[in-house]
Amino acid sequence: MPTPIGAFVDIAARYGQIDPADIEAVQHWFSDVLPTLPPDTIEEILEELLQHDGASDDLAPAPAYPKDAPLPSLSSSPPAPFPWFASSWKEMLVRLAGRTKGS
Amino acid sequence: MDLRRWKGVRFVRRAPTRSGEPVNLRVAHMTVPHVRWWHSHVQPIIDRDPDRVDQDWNWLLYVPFATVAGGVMARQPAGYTVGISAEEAGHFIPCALVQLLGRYPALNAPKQKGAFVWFMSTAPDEALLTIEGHPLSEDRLPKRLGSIALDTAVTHSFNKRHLGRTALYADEDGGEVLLDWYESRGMTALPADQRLPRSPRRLIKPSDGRYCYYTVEAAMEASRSLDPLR
Repeated sequence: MPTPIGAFVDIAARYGQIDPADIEAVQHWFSDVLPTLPPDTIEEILEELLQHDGASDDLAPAPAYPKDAPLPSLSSSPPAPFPWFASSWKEMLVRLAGRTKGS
Repeated sequence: MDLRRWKGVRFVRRAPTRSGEPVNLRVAHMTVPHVRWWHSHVQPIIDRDPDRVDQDWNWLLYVPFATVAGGVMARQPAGYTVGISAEEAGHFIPCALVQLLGRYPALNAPKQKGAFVWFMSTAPDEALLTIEGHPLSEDRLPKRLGSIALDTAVTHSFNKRHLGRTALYADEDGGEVLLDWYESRGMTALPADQRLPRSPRRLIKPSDGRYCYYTVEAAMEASRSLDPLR
């Protein structure tokens, strides 16, 4: 059991004054509002969640699933970068060409 | 000589399928649209299966720690989505999600850092067979998704110069089967009588024989085993 949902709900209630029974509002607060908070606050929240990591869940509200979420596009999901030296020679040349073009 | 500890490692780019023809994969940084689709289409199917340890997980709550300030936060959280790269349709079909803490005390070497997998999940076949507008056929389903998801965390560890050190907790709901699976991937279970390094988990979820970790050598070996898919 990783960090229980109840710990996330509690955070949203305390930091965002979100109704703990409204899981959609909690989801919205985490996915859309939390990223706009100062990094120090996000760090504090992460540490607080990790304090509950491994605890059992007794506060979790029923799940709410978003409707009609579209499939993500390839263009908005670029490959995660990896170190330059892990590239093949061909990729290195392409990366180098891209860098030269960009400069 | 294996140079991956110095050069880093590229992520997996294909997965075997029953058809014999590999399917193209892409490992991308996790984003809100990825998890929104997952929570709309994949998680409801997982939630119907009482045997899944990821039942009732909610990735919409976890994603901000993958998308914000990861580089500057002390734990260096990171999130990855492993997805099918459907070039013709321009779709990216998430089939595994991995959320990790990039800077966590290594279980077997507390003075060293490594990755700790916080959440990791793979899509059940049913979810990939029933995608509206883009259903996959059974013989084109990616295989070895669990190994590929775990490899994503190990690759992250190599690329952040933690020499592949990666740890996780094998959820007790997964029983011996889950623990055996991680051990079959080359991980070592921390003995129950060995204390966890100083971390928030030490108090609330002490060592119980279900914490698993890769030694540097085992991480190298596990990473090499997936090289044909990179």
